[in-house]
Amino acid sequence: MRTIGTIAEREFRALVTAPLGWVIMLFFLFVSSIFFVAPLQRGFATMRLVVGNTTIWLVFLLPALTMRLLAEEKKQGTLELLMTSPVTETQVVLGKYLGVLAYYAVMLFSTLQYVFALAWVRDKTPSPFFPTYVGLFLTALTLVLLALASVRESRPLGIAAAVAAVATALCAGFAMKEMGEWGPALTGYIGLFMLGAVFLAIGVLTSGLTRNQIISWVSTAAILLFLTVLISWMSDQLPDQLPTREANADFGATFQYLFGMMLYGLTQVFKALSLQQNLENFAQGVLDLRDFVLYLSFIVASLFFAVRGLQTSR
Amino acid sequence: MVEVDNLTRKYGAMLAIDRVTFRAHDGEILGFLGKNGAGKTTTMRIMTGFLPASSGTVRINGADIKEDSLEARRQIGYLPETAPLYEDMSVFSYLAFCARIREVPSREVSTRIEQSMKAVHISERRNWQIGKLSKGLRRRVGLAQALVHNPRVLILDEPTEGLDPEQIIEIRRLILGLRGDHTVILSTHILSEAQALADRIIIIDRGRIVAVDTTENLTRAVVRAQRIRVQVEGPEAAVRKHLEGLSGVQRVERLPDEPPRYVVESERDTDLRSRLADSVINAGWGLVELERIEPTLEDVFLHITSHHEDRIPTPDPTPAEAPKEEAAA
Ligand SMILES: Nc1ncnc2c1ncn2[C@@H]1O[C@H](COP(=O)(O)OP(=O)(O)O)[C@@H](O)[C@H]1O
Ligand SMILES: [Mg+2]
Repeated sequence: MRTIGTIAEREFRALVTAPLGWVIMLFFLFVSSIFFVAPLQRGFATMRLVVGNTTIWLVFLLPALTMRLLAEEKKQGTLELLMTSPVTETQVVLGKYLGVLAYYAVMLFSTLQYVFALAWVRDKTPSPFFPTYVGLFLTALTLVLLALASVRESRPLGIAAAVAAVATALCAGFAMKEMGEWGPALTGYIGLFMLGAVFLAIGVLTSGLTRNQIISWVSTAAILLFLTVLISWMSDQLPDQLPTREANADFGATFQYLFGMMLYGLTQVFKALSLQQNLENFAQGVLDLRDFVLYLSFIVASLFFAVRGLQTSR
Repeated sequence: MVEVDNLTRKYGAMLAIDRVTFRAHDGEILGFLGKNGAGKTTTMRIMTGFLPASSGTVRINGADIKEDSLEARRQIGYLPETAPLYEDMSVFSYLAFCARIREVPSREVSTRIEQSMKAVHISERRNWQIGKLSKGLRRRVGLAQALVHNPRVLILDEPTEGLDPEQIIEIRRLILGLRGDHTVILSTHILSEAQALADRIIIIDRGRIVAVDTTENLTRAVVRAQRIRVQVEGPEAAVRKHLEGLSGVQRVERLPDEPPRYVVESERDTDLRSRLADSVINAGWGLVELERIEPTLEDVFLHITSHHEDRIPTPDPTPAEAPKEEAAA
């Protein structure tokens, strides 16, 4: 456990202290803010669009967070350091994964500013001071403390950042409640987190199969694009109804029936695998156990094969 | 104690090392000597658990590197050929990371880091970013990393390769300071380095061990004839005649230099140097240069070839050089 924590901490710190991490975070904030501002200008303020539309951006952004994870370790020879220390492949993969997942959580956390801004714009809260100003201040404070804690490697600052984060979350909870969007906003965030967790796990897997970061990025983005956009599109094109069977069918009709069955089955498989479909449930405030099971199986399978890849590639 | 038995490793069809067997005893420095591509790195990577062997076993103080891998790895400090450094970290936090993954207890971490930084004289650079350090300093950080958990066994792959002479002296001094407290296995392709550092030397050639002996014995065996380079100011013919006439001299060879220089080969176990110097000066000539020619790894191979015909490996039918890069998936 301690080893996993040590590796995760190093990975998280590398992201916070390196330009790449901040570029990805800022880009993410920029694109998600578009989906926040656009509906605002048309007179309504909601979190739903933010949740629904960021997926496609995550498809391209998150692989950039994971591409270096294992590929770089191999290339610069530090994998030799890890694998000749009393550390298992599973610990390496889990540590790296948790480190980058924590960074993604910070990315999501920083979008809480929209919640605070919305609370004010909607004019539902008694004063702009609370929760809006307080919330925005707490969000910024948390991020600054976190950056300082990482650069200085200071535990007290890290604890202060955690306290500020909890305060921010409570404040955000209050703001959501005032807006009457408590449910959808929370499930939206849970959905985005789970979706990102899947994306990152797949990224860890491809990063472990190559020593070239660009290959890792491209292949992860391609897989994610397939699992989100393409697969939904395909399942929309395919028939969503069971074919009917004619009473006295000749060979052609039977063949058509069987073919229809096959297509129907494929549609259902696509639907089940489509990560987008599930996210829409989340955005509408629906938490379905099956969605969690799907996401978790993606994560477990990806990490499992990442571990196997590390074990057999030497 | 490190026990290596019948270690064999193939890369595809190529046999990189072939039934390598040896022991490293507690507290000794063992030199692993061989030309580039002989199989030193491969052997060390297997010993440290990074590479699986095709067959054979490695036991580190009784723990098998395959069956009881974590326990074996706990006892090892390893400096790979290129120091495995995270360029974005500071020296201190890098060493802290290494100490933690080596299971150093939390409250000992900072004292262990201080000790290992002190051992390699890098304490004043503790806050430097590793990516900004010079090659010699990076190697020292690599050495500190191998020492930070105070392992009983140290495995160092060409620790002085690519450094300048001052840095080499520095690193050698550090390594000699480790004798006794640690079992050190170091690889090199330079005979004089193995002689300077190791208590015992193992010579590996094309994946096979061709000689194991104490440094003393091996050196004595190699120096079948001492060779001295001399330059004497005096009439050429007389000087040559004089040198050839000295007792104990086997052969005198004139080098193509002008003014003439000679290589004087003595009989076995004879140190000619002081006698040669005295006699030249007594003859009234000037002794401009007198230098012993250090034997090289090539001389060792020559020696082994001429004395142990039976131990010479037959050349592999497979190509000696294979592409070193693993294919990226
Ligand atoms: N990853 C690898 N894939 C294929 N061949 C390799 C690999 N690593 C080393 N070799 C080959 O194995 C032989 C031994 O290499 P190595 O152990 O690196 O020797 P040394 O360290 O003594 O220079 C060489 O012929 C080398 O080309
Ligand atoms: Mg080597």
